[in-house]
Amino acid sequence: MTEFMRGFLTYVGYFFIVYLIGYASFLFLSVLTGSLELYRQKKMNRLKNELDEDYYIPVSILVPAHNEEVTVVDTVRSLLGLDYPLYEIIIVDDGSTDRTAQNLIDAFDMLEIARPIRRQIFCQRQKAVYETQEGNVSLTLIVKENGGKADALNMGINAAHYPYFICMDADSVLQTDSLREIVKPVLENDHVVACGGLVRISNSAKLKGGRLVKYRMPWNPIVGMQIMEYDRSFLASRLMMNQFNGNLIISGAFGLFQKKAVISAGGYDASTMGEDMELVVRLHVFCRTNQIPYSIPYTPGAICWSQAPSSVGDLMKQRRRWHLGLFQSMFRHRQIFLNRQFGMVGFVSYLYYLFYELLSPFIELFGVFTMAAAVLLNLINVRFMILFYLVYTLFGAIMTLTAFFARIYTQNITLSAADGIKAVLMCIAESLFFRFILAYVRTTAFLGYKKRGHQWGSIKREKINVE
Amino acid sequence: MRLDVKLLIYVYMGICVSLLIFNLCYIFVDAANGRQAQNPGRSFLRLQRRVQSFARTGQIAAKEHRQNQRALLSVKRLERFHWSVEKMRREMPKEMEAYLAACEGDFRSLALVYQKKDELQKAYFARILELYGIGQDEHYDELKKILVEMACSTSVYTRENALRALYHSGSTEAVIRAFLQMSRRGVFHYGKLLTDGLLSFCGDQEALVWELWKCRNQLSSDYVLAVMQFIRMSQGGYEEEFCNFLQEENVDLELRLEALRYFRRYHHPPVYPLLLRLMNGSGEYGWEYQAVTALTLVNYPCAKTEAVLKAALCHRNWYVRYNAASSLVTAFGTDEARFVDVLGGDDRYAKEILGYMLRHSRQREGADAT
Repeated sequence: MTEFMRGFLTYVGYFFIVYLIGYASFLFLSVLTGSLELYRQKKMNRLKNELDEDYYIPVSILVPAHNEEVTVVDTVRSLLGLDYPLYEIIIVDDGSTDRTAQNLIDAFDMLEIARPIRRQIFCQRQKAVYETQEGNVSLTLIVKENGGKADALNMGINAAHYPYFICMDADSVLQTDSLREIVKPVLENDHVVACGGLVRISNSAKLKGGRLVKYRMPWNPIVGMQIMEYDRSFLASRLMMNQFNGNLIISGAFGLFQKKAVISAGGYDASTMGEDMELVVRLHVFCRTNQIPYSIPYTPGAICWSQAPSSVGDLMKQRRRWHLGLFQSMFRHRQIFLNRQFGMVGFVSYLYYLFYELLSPFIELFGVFTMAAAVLLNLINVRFMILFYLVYTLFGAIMTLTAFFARIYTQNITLSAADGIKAVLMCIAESLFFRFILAYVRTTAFLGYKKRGHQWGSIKREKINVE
Repeated sequence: MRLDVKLLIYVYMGICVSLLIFNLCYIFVDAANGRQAQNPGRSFLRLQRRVQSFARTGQIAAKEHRQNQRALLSVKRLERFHWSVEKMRREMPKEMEAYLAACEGDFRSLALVYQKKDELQKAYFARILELYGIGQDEHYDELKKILVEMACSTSVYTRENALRALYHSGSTEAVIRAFLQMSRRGVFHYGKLLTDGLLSFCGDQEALVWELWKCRNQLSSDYVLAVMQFIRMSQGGYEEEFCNFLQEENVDLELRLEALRYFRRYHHPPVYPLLLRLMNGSGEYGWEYQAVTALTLVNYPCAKTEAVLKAALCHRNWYVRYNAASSLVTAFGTDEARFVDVLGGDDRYAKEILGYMLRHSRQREGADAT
């Protein structure tokens, strides 16, 4: 028996070595390519490699809202101040039970109008449509029956006038130049069907006129660790996947989509919890299957400020939703897995999300059990194990720090020395503790998920610090 | 096994440290370069001396030309030079312009070198040429040939900056050659950028339009579309040509639609029968023609137009109905009595869309009045 266990644990050891080398290499490569790409873009700006004419592509901004009475008016006000020549704003109130719609009607003197909406994609019926004009910008509010975020976005797509649309959250604020930045890839390449922007955490930032005026590292460790995590996984890894058109996620908080392509692919899927990822994966499948040349890039110059959950409870709710969404998207499009038709998407992106995101909590749990067994059988050198863990933590922390400072530097943000130290501490804390919270949430995410269906995720909203 | 793992750990620690060192070095070096470029110091003082001397004597020594050509080969120095020029332009604008004009030859020589550099540097150099007004004449010379070549590059920034330098030069021939080359090589350049660029052309725009229109058969449809949009947005005067063009065979759908849009802006009675034919021909023409023609008819208000547009409200395509309703309200006003036949009719879709347009238009009028 002991011999068997010894043999078994040896193979488990080999597996974990390969698994960890794979992750460490991915992390290293993504941070390296991510930082190099950021530096290249900074150099490009310095050397006038930019399109600074008054170019434009008409864009519809879709804001799905459900019980967002605290933030929705500020969000729309900030959208009205965007530096862009031609856009419209469509807010879809998805059966809110609070004053979301009324606050908007009062704030912008909106008038009810019987507007026919061409329903090219299925969505719940509208109860009322309100319109107004604010300067050049047409503002539309559609009040509809509750159907979930995806359903609200589908309604917005049906009502949109322009060929490209932006989806964003009602608690987010777009930086003033974000539309100019996010349409750039479309000007560079006419095969762009979707483009992701950079989502940054607004909890400790102060914005004025849509521009960042003050940036501090927060005291709240939950928020601070998320800032680090966003920089490492969202910025660096997406920039790396950009190199081979392998991005599988465009955050629901900020993304640009070609309306025609999304309608052809069937719009947002209201039956998943991760409608943002599902749509992007479906666009890959749709374009590859129909042999349509396409590109889904990620542009870190287009910035959206979004609130991060500031309590463990809210964070767990959010991550549980994300993990279930990831599972649903990956399971639904499992034909991508190691499929040559999908190239690097099937061999790198899908594989990464499968092993290092979706299955990672179970692999980690398995690791903990085998480790306990090894300790019991006295097959492990505890000192070495602790050393290994510390080195691995340090490795992760340094990678995260590199991504963080590369972003801080390239976006010309000044950090005080205290904030710099805070960042270092948050990085270490993120590597030491955050992964365990995430592992727990991900492992338990599937418990009772059928009951939760496609509800809106509700986290505690606060007013964004905008002047 | 344990030894191997240790080795592995050391390798990754090494990678870690080297990544950290690389990033730190990069940030420090790049920040130092950036600071140097924006604080040109000696470079500025040298330029100031030269500009002042040129203002006094009206001459630049051959040695100075040689120094310029040598020094500006490096993009870092060119960057510093540019910052100095910008600063001098604020202090002594006239003298600086005169000095740059006298240095034109230096930039022409530099173009030969920069055309072989990477895309980032090529784009920067093309922008510098535009900003300094180098090569501002009608003649198609070596410099413009290089810019035409840059306009066909793979980087959108190099293409755009080179095209901007060409538009700024005012040379009709150079712009046409660039368009022909780009089209021949199948280079994609976003239509809006092309149209906006043409609108910024500093030379004789009428001559440019005419020459581009003449060689439309050698251009791919993306480029012809940009030229047609340029014509629509600039001075017009192409009613006859576009009317004939609409009746030519083997013309792309997008180009025909653009010609129809032109007649929305420029009234041309001879095209009216064709517009009516497009609206009435059921199934003969695609819905796209009818959708655009419905918008164009806003510029031809008469009883016949009203009848055709009212009939289009019952079209099976949503866009045709939407555009017809929009044109009806814009051309014939918001008095419901005029549309009682539609509003009291049986077609629910026609009633809905017209009712919406009437209310929408009234709301806008009300908002404008307040």
